[in-house]
Amino acid sequence: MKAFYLFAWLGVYLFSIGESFGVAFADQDLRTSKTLSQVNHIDGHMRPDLGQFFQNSSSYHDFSILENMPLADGNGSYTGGEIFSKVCASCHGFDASGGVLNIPLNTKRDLAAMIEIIEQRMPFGNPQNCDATCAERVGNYIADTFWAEELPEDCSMVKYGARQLKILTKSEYQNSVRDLIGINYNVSESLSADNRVGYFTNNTFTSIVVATYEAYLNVAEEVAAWSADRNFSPLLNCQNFDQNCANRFINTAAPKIFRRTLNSREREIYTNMANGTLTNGDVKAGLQLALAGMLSSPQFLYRHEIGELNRSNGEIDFNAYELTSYEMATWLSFSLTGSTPDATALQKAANNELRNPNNIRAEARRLLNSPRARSTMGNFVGNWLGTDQLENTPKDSEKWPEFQQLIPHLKQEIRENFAEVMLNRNENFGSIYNASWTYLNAPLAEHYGISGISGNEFRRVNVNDRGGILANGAFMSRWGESIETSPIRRSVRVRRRMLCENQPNPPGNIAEGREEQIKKHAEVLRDPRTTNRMKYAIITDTQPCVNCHQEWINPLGFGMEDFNTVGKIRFADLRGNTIDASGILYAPENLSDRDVSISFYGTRELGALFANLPSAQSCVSKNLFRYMMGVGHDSIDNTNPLGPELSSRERDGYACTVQQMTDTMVHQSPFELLVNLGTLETVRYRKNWVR
Amino acid sequence: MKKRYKNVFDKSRRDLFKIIGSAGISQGLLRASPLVMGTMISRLADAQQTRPNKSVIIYIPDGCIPQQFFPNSNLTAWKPMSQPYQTVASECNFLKNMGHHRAGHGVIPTIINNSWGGDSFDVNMGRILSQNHPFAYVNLGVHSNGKGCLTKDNGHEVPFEDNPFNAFDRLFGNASGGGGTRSPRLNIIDAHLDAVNALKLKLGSHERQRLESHLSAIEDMQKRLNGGSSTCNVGSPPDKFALGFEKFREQAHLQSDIIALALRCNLTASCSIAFGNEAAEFSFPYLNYKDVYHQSIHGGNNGDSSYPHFRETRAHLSGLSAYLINKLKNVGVLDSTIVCEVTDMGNGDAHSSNDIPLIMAGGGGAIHRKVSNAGGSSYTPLNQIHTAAVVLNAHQHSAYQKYATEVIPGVLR
Repeated sequence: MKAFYLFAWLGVYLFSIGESFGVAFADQDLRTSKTLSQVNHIDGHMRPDLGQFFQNSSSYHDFSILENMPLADGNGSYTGGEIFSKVCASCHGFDASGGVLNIPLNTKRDLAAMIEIIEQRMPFGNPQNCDATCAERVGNYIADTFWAEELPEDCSMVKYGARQLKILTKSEYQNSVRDLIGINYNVSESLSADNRVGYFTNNTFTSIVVATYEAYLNVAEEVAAWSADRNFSPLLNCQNFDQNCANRFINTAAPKIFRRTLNSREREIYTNMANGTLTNGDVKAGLQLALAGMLSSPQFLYRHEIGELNRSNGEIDFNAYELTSYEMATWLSFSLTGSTPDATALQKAANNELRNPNNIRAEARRLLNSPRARSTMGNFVGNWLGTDQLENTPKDSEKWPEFQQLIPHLKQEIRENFAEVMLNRNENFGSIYNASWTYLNAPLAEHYGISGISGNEFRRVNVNDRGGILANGAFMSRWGESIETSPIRRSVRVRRRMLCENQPNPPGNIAEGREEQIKKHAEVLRDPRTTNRMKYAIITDTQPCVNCHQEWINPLGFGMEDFNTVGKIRFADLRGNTIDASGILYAPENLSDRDVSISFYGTRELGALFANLPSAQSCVSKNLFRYMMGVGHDSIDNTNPLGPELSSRERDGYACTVQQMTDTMVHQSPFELLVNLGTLETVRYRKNWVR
Repeated sequence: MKKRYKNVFDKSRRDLFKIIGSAGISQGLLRASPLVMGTMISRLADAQQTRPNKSVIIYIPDGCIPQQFFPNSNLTAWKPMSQPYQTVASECNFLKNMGHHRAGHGVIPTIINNSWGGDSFDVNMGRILSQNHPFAYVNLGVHSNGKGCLTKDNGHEVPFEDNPFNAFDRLFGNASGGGGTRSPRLNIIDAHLDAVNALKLKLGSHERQRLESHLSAIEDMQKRLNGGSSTCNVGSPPDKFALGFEKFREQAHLQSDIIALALRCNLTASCSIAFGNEAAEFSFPYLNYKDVYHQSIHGGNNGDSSYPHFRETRAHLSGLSAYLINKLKNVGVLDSTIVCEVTDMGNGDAHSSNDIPLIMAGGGGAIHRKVSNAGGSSYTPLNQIHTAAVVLNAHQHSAYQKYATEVIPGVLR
């Protein structure tokens, strides 16, 4: 266990007429049991009197957050981030870099020990206000946000995923009934909304409640009636609706729906429906009933990743489970093509071929050849970067009258760009951010001012001023304002989504300082020579805004000012001023490393930088991990402080898996990563992790 | 005390059976008729109606600009953001100087809940007030999904029903037991029960908890099919339209109409509705300000301290809330309903935790109305809903989640 020191420094600012002053002291060094008096001299200078300090500090520290919510009984709803920013940041710094007292918490240390100390001694003078739950949340927040991620010392362990059930997303439901039944309209719009965790629709932890169950029943009955009107073709081909037809339904159609063979109990139940027993001998009505039942059944609605014990597999622990071939067929089909296994996949599963890594890879290659794999990759990037919701960022129709019509084309471009890198075995990781080509059709090419492109079909086109998933129209317009760009929106999304850095949310009461700035600099802001960049620099140059904007946000966002808010490259802003797209990426690997920076000019250079930046590389893997596994590599849902959490061994395994994925993607190719996903231990081998 | 109130609710259930029995209605007829069950519940409700027995929660994201919102103490002088409430002023109590237990973005799961687990207030009121109703609770939204859930049912997130046509079908559609014979749907449900129980045996504790929720859902459905119809005669289904932002107002009105009808038909005693989502990522293309709501709050005003854009968008949301309150009044259920309008912060631009715009409405004579004089910085939305629970007499029911211990002084009559 590494030594850990936590000096309980508290500071106080007394704000008056723009003036502030701070006084500080140190608590005893908990490891060496120094006395307060000793620690008061720890930096070589005398700290103020403790009693004096607390008289002053109560006006500054917002202990009320802890008093209003009974954290002591474990029912508090505050997140670690909220408690940190309101109670801890004033002393240790909003970025945990030490704050006014120069006591940093932003480097890795023994987390359990730190949590214990927080529980026992923090907030200083009021430790009763932060119980074990509170301390755990704060400690975990500090570790998750400010400490550099480190791999477990030994990644040679078997890395087990969780035994779990994933409820089909609306898209997966729709695709499944399309492939099974031939349904040709959007029936899933009547289903309850999917859950979103992180950036992705994700029903791994969703529960079926009465409203959602009822929706499943309604939709299943509608689909079954639609299918019955077509004599159940293509699912079933019967000349007559008799017992033979009912048997055929059970023997051939039902396994496709359940994605496995039926057990005896299931055969009994659904045969009883299909053969007309429950419908006065009417077999067709019975088939319709059975179909409705199956399409709303747990067997169909849950993607099973349960596995079975396999004592003959010497690789895994005695209490570990291995996905069955049917489960692997299901995992591969939904993960890579977004739909239910086809006949080929089910046949491979029936032959029990999909426990062998070579066969898993072969099946993955087959699926990746499907046009649906392209769509799946498009869905991934569209959700990861938010571009599939481009409609949610409307533009001023007078200034940008063409934008509304361009939305579907802009969305498609980034989907195609990403899918091409992932599915073209000749592409490498660098093309994700630094491709010298893009996908265009005529409307989009015209928008960008690129000639020689006709028709609505998208095609790969060589370009030199855009390309990749950053320097493209969808991302740049998605995170812009309605008339001008938004360096802030872009910067925050880049840091959070592309670098996977957990940049904190803005604190409360941010408007006051900003309003003062606006008033103070009103004349400059009105001056037509003032650029968008200058405007944001001015209005964020005040406390508390400057804490995050000075390094984390503004210099990064300013470097993307060469794209306007509808995704076109620009050299002058809307007032005619020359664009300055010089940028600096501070803290490129870890949020805490504000003393590390890389300069760049313009979005393309930033993309080129990302192509070789480890944090950008692993961030793709981390997001892909969540998308495919339904769980994050480091958390289940970090917006829910009382939600289930990963166990430490599970988390270690996932960290190693992400590293493995990144290595494959960077050193081989993104395509090889997809080919090998199903062979990852985390996918094949499962455990009942405690949560 | 608790026992006495519990008995009140038990008595309520017994009274329903008594009324059904005295009317000479058989179980078969109950199942056969789409109207009988609702009528019986209505008759019971009429017989018992001495105080409010229904709850409505309205969620409006991101607070307001307090100086632009709070009316004067007798609701005769309005500010731009609250002007639309003028039409329902006689029904409203604008709480003053209210605090928030957890102001900011990302707090929607705990606005009407004192925990990240358990029940949100709408569900909890459903458990207590809707025991004789086909639907325990109804939670609707307008472009609300995808950014967190307001409603939790025993710790499980319940997505908003954003689609009014689905909501209408579910509440007023044809999910009846059917003709006195066993519903074919019950055969399906039996199969599902069998499957979930089999699956439970294979899984670890976390997945088993999820399956328990699935089982409860199946059993609720089974109970409803066995117990009578969930339909009510409300005329034709609404004409469908595309649910884009350009129809935000129409969608909100339709969802409000559905809530009013559901309460009038006694299909449920607890409803909630969210106008938008907590990330404020929605827009009203038909207003002068067409960018996203969030931008109307931050930065979109270009430093104009009168917030011209936020003033317009927030006033629009106020109008949607007033529409619902008015609708409840028009269908005759407002006096028996206590409405709580909640939000996640005070000053939306500053993300502040003071001056939270919170409104209570309805309740007949149970609360002071046409006033804005009660509140205090130590009181929060949790005190607001607790005050509503006291109005509804739900606060001493054994199932009550005890969202707070203090009512807001000066609200109750």
